[in-house]
Amino acid sequence: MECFVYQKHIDLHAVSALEAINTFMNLTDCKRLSRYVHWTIDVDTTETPSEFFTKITEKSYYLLNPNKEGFYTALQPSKGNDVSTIFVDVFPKVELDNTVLVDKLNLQCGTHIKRIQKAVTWQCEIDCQQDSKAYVKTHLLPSETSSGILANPIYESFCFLNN
Amino acid sequence: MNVAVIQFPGSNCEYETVASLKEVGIEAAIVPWNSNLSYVASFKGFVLPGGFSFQDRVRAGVVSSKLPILDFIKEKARDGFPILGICNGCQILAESGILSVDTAQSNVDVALSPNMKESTYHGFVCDWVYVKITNPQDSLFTRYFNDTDVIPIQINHGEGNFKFLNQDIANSISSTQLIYTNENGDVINNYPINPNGSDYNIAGLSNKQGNVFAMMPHPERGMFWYHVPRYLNHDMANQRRDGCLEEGPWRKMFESLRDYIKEIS
Repeated sequence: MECFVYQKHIDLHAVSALEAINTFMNLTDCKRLSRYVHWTIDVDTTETPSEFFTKITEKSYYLLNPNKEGFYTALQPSKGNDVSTIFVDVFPKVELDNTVLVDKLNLQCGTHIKRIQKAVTWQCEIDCQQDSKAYVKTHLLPSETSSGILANPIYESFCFLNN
Repeated sequence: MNVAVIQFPGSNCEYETVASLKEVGIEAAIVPWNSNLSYVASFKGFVLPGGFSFQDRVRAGVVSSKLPILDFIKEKARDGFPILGICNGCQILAESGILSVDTAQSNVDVALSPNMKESTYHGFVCDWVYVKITNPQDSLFTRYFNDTDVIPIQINHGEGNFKFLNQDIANSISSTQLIYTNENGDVINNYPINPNGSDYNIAGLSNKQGNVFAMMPHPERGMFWYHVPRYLNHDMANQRRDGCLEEGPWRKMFESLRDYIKEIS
């Protein structure tokens, strides 16, 4: 089960990343950038993802603060002919021990979560004149020719999500 | 003799860094990140101070590392100019590749990841720690220290965990290093002696040439005698309690920079 948490008003990380990409790195074919905190949860439940995450957010602020954040249970590419959308998940190379968070959520929300993982998902909207996936891979992510910006080459990994 | 302290949006240690430089007789100025590069070129040394440039957005130091002034500083580093990165400045030097250990290639091979305690993030740490310096004679910033010195210093960061691209690179480091120790100088790879989970207890690192030094602890907060807390279990704290400590433990770093600039002028 997955959820993607977004800022309801403005995501300053995404604003600064796009400013750095467009202005400092001179990569103007990256037209828009959004950022989500991506929770992947292994849980025993018959509820739909929407019901499950609504219940969690009503009972705790551990995954998101509903006063300023919202969530989707799936991501959709942007509609529009001028750009193509690429989703990239960035996560630490070392698997983190989240048992404290799991225990807190189960206690607070009455859930049966077994495992939880956190990543950051970047939604990159690239000028459709480009091979958008290759563009993101070459310029925005660590590669042989560039250190990128969206992931650190040393302690983070990344993977592309299917649109 | 003049040194530029580069002020990024979100820097917050530039004034005390300038004060430390001026205290030893260096003419220092705060230079905004978007200054004309011909003006920046008039300086003979560069310090990237601590703080939270661009609010640590995306990752600490990464947005600043893409600025044109960092390309300029990279050139200056290659030309042998003295460059010191403190805390956020250290993160910027790592993200920009200026602190590259393997100088044969220009990609990033050192990083500052979030502080870790075992397999969990444990967030921001603000405390006094102890460090030793290995090969102090090889860096222009540390040449007045001895490798037996155990020196108290303040840390103040959430992402100070030195990581290397691979084990070969980590094993090949022969340059000057700052190493977290206990008050007796023993290198123990456990929290809180190694407060952020750094590989090999590294708190700071020089490039091979010895003209670039990046360190997570704050030397400008150990410049004056009154910076040293009385409660530390250290000879300097004893002297402080007795009222006979005359200068801070890190004054030598700034004096060394002053003398190096005199030598090359």
